Amino acid sequence: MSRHAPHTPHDNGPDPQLRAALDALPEERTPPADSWSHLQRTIATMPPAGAPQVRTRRTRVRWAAQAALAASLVVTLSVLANRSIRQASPDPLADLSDDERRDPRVLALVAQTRNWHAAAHDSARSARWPMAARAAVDGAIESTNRELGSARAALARDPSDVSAREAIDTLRERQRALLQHAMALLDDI
Amino acid sequence: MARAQRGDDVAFGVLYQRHAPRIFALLSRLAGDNALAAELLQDTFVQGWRALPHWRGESALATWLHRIAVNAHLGALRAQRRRDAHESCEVELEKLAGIAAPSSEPGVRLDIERAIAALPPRMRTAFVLRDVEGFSYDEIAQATDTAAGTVRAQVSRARLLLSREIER
Repeated sequence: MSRHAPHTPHDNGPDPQLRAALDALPEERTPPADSWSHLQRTIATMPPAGAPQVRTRRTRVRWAAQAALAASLVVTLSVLANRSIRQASPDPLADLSDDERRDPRVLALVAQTRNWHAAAHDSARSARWPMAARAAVDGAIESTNRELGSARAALARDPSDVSAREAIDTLRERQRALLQHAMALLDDI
Repeated sequence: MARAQRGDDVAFGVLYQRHAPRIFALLSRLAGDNALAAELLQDTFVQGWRALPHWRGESALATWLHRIAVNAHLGALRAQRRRDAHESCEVELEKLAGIAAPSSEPGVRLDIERAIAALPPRMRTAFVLRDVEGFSYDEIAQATDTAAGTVRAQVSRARLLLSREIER
């Protein structure tokens, strides 16, 4: 079904390697095995093909109620997203020990976190960034911080706890990767 | 065809078996998710079943179903845009994290399907419609209710990301 229209003079299309990869895409893919039987059951409950669809007053009322509910949900979610953005800007240095403050990897992560907060909340830079996406990143940072807090507490209780030390390294690496992807995404949008 | 148009579900089943694999391939690429593509495939053929009696054969049945499938995807995309304030953003972020992450198995042949699936939904839609399906920028802009310049930027960005993946 691909039409592969000629490209406009201002659009040279994908580079040859990508074009070749796209041309090699299979034109067909087998649908899930139960797909037809599911469809058969669905159409069996429908009026015969071609029968005019009568939209009753009751249906219209139900649709209107659902639309109103959806609209109010969107408003609520927007408010929640805004609120979580405002709340999720803790000082990343606040809980660090002296040793951690001397660790260049930790300081790099702190700098990344600050950059993220500055960029994500700079309206000119992130005008097209969906608010909830920012909230999602902030939420992920927050939850990683919580896990970090638990691991650090475990290490404070038992400085020889190797698994806690490894967990801290893993969580910081995860947070670093998350921030890196978030910044790349922010720049892309 | 005439039997299917009269509501014969066995005849409709034959049409389904003939056209579903191609439509499913299209929807998998557009949706970037097989489960969602399977749902959209159902929607496409349910709409096809409803509208079949009115089909007058101005275009090939495959083209007609193809258009219904693209519209089903665009409808889902619009619905997703409305839900963007909620859960979909996290999924989108995870997917993007996937495409930006270096391959854990160097030398593994690029799975272009997987890379396309990892693109953000609107960028993926613009890219697939343009570079796989051959739509014009204006057609995509109109279908997705997006400025043509934005569509160009999305396609260009998708090409860049995918080319980078190929070069790895």
